[in-house]
Amino acid sequence: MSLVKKMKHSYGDFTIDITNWEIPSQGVTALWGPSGSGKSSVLRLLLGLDAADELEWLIPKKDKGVEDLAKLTVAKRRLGVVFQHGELFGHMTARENIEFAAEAAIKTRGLTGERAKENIARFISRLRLEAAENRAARLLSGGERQRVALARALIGEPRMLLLDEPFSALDSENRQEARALVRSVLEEIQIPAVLVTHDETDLAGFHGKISRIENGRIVSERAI
Amino acid sequence: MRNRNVVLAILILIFTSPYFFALFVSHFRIKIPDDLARLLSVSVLQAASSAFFAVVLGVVGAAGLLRRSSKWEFVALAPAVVPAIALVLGFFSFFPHWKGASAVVAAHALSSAGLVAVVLARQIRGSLGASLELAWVEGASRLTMWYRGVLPSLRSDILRLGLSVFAASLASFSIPLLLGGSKAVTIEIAIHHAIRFENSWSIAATLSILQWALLLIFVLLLKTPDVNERRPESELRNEVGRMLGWDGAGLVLLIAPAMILYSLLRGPLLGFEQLRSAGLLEHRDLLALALRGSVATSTLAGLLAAGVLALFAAIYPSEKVRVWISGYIAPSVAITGFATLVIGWGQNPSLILDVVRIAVGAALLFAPVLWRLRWEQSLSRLEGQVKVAETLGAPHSMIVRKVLMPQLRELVFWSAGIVSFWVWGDYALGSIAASRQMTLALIAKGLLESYRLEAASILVLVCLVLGGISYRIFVWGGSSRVAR
Repeated sequence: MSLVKKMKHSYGDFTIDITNWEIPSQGVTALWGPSGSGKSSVLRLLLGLDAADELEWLIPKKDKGVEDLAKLTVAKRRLGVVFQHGELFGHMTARENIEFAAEAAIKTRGLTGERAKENIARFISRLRLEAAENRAARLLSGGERQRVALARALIGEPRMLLLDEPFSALDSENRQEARALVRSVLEEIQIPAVLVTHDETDLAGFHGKISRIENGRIVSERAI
Repeated sequence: MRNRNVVLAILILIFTSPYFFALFVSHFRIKIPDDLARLLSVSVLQAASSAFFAVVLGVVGAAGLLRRSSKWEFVALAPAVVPAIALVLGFFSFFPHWKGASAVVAAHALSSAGLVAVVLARQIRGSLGASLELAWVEGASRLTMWYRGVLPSLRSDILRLGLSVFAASLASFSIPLLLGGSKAVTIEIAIHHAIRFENSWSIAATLSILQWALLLIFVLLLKTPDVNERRPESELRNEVGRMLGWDGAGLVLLIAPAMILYSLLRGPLLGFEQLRSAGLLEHRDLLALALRGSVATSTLAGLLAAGVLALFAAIYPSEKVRVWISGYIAPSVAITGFATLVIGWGQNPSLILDVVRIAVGAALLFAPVLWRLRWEQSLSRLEGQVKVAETLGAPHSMIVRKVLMPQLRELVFWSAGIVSFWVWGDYALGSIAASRQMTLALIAKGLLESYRLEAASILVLVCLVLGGISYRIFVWGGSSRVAR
């Protein structure tokens, strides 16, 4: 389990203020709330994309003790992320997008070349990307785009996966399929995930807890 | 990160160096010119009139563009995009003795009207569809749709365009240098005169800072978000566009292109005769030198400006810094031109030195313009990808090499091309920074001043054609690498 002991950040007239928020080491922690409640901002602060005014995020070390992720740079936090529209590199193919993430992980996260190759093959197959792997990213369908984004996020073996409204840009058929795929992949690789959503139906079938956020504060928590 | 900040600081220092140079040479003394009140009132009146007429012509022109395909936008934009020497030549051809503030206003208005018209026509087409269609169905007349629908909806756009033309006209140098007559009608010309004729750097520095402050106010006004900003509604259908437009209105946008075209094509035979009488055909080495000078200057300026912009992009400054850079106003042409004389100070004049001085000056002046025009927007568009790459753990060098540069390559080459095109027609910076007539545009300026208009038209035409070829070569270079 990791603990966001303190997270405080002011965006002018809007403030994120969270204390003692637990993220279990298994399953999904859904950050659920209406538009403008601060869900995506919390994700950006966790990722380090916005420098929080105050952040203390404690996570157990592999050997002993805890480390504060807030003290690490964005790259060193070792988090995987999938954004709403995938944010693929449009000038690359699907495979090149995934290889980019592998190369980055080799350079900064100590992933070996061999392991990277294994991961690329594994996730391309697992996420059914064989037919699309050599297609330019800008030509991929919405569903393919999200699958590539997911593969890219997982290739570097992150300690946690953060998903920012990953299904909201998909049509209903693709959305169901994508939910099932994310669910099964998370069960398989056994890493915790934080899923930001405004749509409670996105949470069907996931195990974990829902943290309801309003006006930048977590107001209630319950099991999914 | 620290290295990136150091490079960013050096770049910012280089870009603001002309100001420091002016202050240093003036021993940090402020000296207010005797005729400041006249200068300010004439400058502001000139800029306000230019903006007013540009907007009036632009609104009328937009009505014409609504009935034409988007290909006509190219014609309308031409006067704003081609180097100022082409428009000045047109003015000399039709009104050889029209000089002073009114001539400058007319030239500024004609030069900017097309741009205003294109922006407004795009706004009308792109965002007023549903409400205008509804008005049409309800039987509103064309005049009612304009007065009750289009103009009130576009009020903030019209105001912003007017402010843009005002700011550009206030800081204009090339057009008033040739059309302004003996008395300064812009602060920029007053700065030039203070240094060239009075050797008073104190006055020049004072005026430069004053102009910078005035322009800054306008940049801030232009950047102020409009709380009532319209959100795009829907595209205007062709039928409604045609109903709203008016064929005859488009003619106002043809005035400047027609003047330019006529002046370029008039009497080439007489032009060659004038070139001979000016001694230029007998001394072909002068023309050959100028051709070499133009090629070298424009190419180097293009490469420098594009290189500097690419360096800014590679540093990938934070959003706040990017906005700050956008708000930065290039220093005055005159101050920059004189500041470039520091390069090779004390050395004997040479072609290489002149080329380097003009190219550096042009890069300092044009890079901020291009940043505002396209670079800031392009970098903002890539922000999401950069953030994703960072979360994936990619080091900055890898992000630059694999994410930014491949997607900015075409923009880099386009920037080099457009700067090179503009520098082919530059006579303003060259007349300060160069020790002699070492480019074709500088020779053309000399011919214009001695009213050898046909001869000047031949050289201006050559500048535009070769400038266009230079632009195409750069653009082709960018796209062919992408294709590969």
